[in-house]
Amino acid sequence: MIAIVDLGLGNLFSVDQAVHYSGGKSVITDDCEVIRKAERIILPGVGSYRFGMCAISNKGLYGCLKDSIDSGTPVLGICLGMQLLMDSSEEHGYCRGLGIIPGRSIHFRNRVDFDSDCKVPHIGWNGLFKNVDGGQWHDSILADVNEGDSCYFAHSYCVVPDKQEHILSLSRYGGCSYASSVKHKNVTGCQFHPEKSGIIGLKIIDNFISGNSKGADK
Amino acid sequence: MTTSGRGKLERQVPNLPDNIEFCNKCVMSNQRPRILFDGDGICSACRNTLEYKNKIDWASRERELKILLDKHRSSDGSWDVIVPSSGGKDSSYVAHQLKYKYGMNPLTVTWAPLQYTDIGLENFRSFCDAGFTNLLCTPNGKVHRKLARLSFEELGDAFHVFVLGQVSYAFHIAVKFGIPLVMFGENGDAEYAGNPEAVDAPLIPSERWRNIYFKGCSLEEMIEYGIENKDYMNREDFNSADLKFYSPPSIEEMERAGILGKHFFGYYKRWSPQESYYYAAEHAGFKANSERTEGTYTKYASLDDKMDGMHYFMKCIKFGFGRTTDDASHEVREGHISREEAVALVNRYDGEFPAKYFADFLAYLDISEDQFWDVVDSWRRSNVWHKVDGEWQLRKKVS
Amino acid sequence: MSIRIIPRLDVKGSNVVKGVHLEGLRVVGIPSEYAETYYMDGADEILYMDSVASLYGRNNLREIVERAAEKIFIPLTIGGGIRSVDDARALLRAGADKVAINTALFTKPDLINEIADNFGSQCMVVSIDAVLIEGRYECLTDGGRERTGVEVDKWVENAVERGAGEILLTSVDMEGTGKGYDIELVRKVTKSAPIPVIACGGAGCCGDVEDVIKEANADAVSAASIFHYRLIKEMGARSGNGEGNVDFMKRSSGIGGNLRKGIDPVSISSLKQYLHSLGEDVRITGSSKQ
Repeated sequence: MIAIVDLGLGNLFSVDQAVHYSGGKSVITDDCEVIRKAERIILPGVGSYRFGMCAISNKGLYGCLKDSIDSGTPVLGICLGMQLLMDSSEEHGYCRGLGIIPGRSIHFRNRVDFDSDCKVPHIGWNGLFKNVDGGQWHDSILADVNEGDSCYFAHSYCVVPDKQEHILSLSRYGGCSYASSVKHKNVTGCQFHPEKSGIIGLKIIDNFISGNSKGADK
Repeated sequence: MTTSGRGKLERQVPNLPDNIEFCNKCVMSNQRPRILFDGDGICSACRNTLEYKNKIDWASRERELKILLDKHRSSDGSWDVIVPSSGGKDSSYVAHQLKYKYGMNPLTVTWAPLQYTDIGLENFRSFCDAGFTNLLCTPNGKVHRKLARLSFEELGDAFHVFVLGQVSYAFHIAVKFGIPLVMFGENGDAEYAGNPEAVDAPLIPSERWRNIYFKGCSLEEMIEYGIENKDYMNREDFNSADLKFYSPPSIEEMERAGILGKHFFGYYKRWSPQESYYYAAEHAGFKANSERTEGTYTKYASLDDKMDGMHYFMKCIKFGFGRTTDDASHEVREGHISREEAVALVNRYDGEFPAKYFADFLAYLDISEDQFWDVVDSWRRSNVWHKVDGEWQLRKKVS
Repeated sequence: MSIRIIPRLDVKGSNVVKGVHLEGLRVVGIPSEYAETYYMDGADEILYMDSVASLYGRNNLREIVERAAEKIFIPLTIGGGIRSVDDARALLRAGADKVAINTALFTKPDLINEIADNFGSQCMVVSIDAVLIEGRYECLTDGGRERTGVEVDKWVENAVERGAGEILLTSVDMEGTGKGYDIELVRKVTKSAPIPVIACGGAGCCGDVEDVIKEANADAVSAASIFHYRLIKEMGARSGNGEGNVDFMKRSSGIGGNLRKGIDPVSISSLKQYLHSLGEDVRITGSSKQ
């Protein structure tokens, strides 16, 4: 059973449908016990970082999420869900994250390498490219995805992992190269929305469900 | 001005039922002149549609049309059909079909609106540019305005003066040029009232339409009454030359020209204002207005005259229903909207005050706002309107 | 980043409808069939607009969205009659990714802030129906029926300040005519807005889409007539429940040639191939893979 964590933010229905479409069984839940028992966990979300962290805290989910991660359960963070995995975000000045993947989330316009004429939010389809210092795609949710294949993005903030090796894929926007997906042991995050990225996205979800995202000792 | 200070020129209102009812199928009111409601509470227009219009073999009607047109089509490219046009969606559709689909040579004629709107002029020009010769008649302004004011006071409708010429002018031109075929668009009595006499008729013979149409009151009667009772009307203002186009040609003149009567394109082709709109937009450059027409929900009907909105407002004052009821009822009959949607539209827009051109209206008739409201209130029938907390409200609304 | 091609489905009740100048409710087909076809043919997003929501004071696209989200895995934007954060939340939970709002914002402009704060700015699309009156572009509401007196420039500024993520810019003058986009209108807005702009209204052929990308710098392009008038021939005469203005649809199935003068219908994949051949960055999908 795959637990889709319900933080009350955004479109969970599509994530659920995408999992079903790919042959998985999922449940949308904010119940700690269900999350603990899940074989895999998806952490989706859109919107405010602070809302996301507050929801985790108010629903008492921090403990079960951390425990599941520590015990090697594969976790996939999507969009805001991925950003919450980081140490912090500069949204609202400073907001603490889950601290699973070292690094932070910053606004595009605060990147020194970002073209100020470029529009934010970044909304649309953009290509995924390999990171030479990062993990192998074949061992990840990006197995069988070709370099340059596009996925759907909709965000104003991007993550900057402390360690290059945690960057699974790069994408280009506003003249800069940024982390479009990250991976650290059994935890993967993607900035794009695989549940909204057509056939490629469904492949990615399928990879996650069928276990190509394992990377850690369980 | 009170009712007692008014003449007896208006003859429709006294014949209407006291008790107000609305059709159970569409949203039409039984206060519409010439409409009939049956024992099931269904109006004659709906009955006409259900039992008749929906069963018409339109292919056979088209054959009839072709036969008619074959008889009239000129062999030398000269004008062979008169099409009264405004540049609106309906007349654009009729003229374009006659010319480009059926190979006729229409001469389009226009009786000028009281006051052209910008969008009306734009559409009129686009229409001519789509390939039509047009004769635009602008009536004597002094005469027109006085008659408009008289009509407003004595018939509750300034627009009546437009209506007088709209039909008659086309026939004068037909007589003048010897063109026997005069093709209008929709047969209002069939489409909106379901008048049994009108329903199954490709045309209304000249004698009949001359009698029915003028709200039971002739132009001569109106002018005589006005000269006797109104300080703004004097005999020397009215000469027969400038009044010529307000009344139809004589029966003899029309018979000599071979004119049988008012033909209706709507007899031969299923009449749908919405489909006329699409057609006119596609083929004649017709453009919808940038905002909703006051008093209804559409943007494509009756766009050309600043005074038009007041016509529908007065309709609501006199009969308790307005433009939205007409439009929505027709769309319900066509199956384009549901009755529920029609009710929502009527309650939202019917009887809306035409504020946009109110100042133009007062200036056109040369009356003050007080005079305006006196006339308006004199037309409120007590079975239709009552005052609630000092405000006029309809006694009964459709639901 | 690729230019997005977004087919627009104006929906009334259970039917896709297509008007001219946002007027007229001619039925062209069934929403789910149209959306699925466009998805399979390479659409980047789908835009659903409830064309009479404001007219009747209702919004009933939830069911349509739910059904779509079961099979369509590209972003869905929903508009028409959204008046509150709760309305937006309900649609998002049903499978929508973005909400497009117009009319309600003129009485409750704070709604932009509220939705952006609650769901993120990328979710908040400010929909602008623009008309050219006396040399100025003005915003319309209620399905293109009511004037606001508000200039488009000012409204865009307001939207950006309040946190909108995108502008959906529809030219009511050009919409449904097939005479091309209003290049000047789109250019003005793409130049001044620091957020993406979706151009809508007027496409009659592939060249019109190229023009609005090249000359007006649209970030995304939405169209309806050029796609629908092709599908209606293929799909045949089928409406949701037989209601509505189905006259055109009935007489159009099985007919050869163009159904509408001035509109050169095209499939999404063909349009993309055309744009690609001119050097535009568009996402090309194969028939069975992306």
